[in-house]
Amino acid sequence: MSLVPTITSDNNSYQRLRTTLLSRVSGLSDDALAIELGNAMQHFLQMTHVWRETVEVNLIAGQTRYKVSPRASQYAQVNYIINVEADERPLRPLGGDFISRGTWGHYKVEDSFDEIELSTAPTTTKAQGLKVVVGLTLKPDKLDMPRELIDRYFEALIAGTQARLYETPNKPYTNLDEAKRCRREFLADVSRTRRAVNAGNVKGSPPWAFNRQAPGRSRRGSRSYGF
Amino acid sequence: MPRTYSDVMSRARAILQDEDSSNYRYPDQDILDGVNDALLEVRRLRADLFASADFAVADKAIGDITDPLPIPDMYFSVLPYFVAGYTMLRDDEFSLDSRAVNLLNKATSQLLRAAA
Repeated sequence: MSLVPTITSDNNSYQRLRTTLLSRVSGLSDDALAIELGNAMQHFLQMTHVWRETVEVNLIAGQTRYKVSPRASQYAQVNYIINVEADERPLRPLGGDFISRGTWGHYKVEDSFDEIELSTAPTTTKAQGLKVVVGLTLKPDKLDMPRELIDRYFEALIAGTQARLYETPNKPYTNLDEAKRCRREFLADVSRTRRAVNAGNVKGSPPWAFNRQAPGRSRRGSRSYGF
Repeated sequence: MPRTYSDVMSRARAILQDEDSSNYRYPDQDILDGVNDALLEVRRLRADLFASADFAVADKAIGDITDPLPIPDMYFSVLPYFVAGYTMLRDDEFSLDSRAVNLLNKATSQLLRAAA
């Protein structure tokens, strides 16, 4: 079975990527293009968490494990669980075995990445009681990245693919100097995108801040020393 | 329409100046053996060209020479060079060793370099 990734949708933005790469990289075959473009897309999505989706899950009384299936599951897979919220309150992630705690408010991600387990089963059934924000990446045999993401990060995807192609040894397109330049450009784009995503895609917003509800911070200003 | 094994054989015969079908110097089976060997050499040097075929290369028999080649058409031209080169390496009255080596080198460099 061949694992050359394919595209299943009629996506003009993908055709733009393909046309650009075939015209820039001499001697490039369609298979090599699809393989390295797929690798660059995967890498970009895994590093930036830019492809997100909120999945609403029905809570079922007495059930702790829930499958998280994004709408794009035909060609995308869950890369990260970014946030889980129940009844408008965020749940906290925990590793290891928390079942003994028996308290509501925690969850853990199963090894398959698309299943979560709650620390306590809900007592009532609720439609769309759980909101799970997931970071998606491509399935290994697919190239169906959303059109708006391709358009927005077009140059990053081109640079990432070119870097991978140019650094492959013994090919008509092998070019280590160009590979270094493209790799730098790709990593800079990844870094810029990750910062923007962490800052909520708001220009000028700081990428990270102390949580105002953190106990150490909120008490510090009002601490009484008994004077 | 994709190029076939038969196309490689006729191009190789053109290089070998062996196009008189009533009196071939080199039998079809010898030329086809050259095509099968050439594809193995391409597979060794450029595995990426065989990704769709799951990296498999199978020898073809005379009855299958109208089958499409397993590599992209843009690399078609290396195959006649390889086949003609292999054929000329035979020690017979028509062969010219230096020309055979040139053809094999040209085919190899077309696979590996941008300008060949």
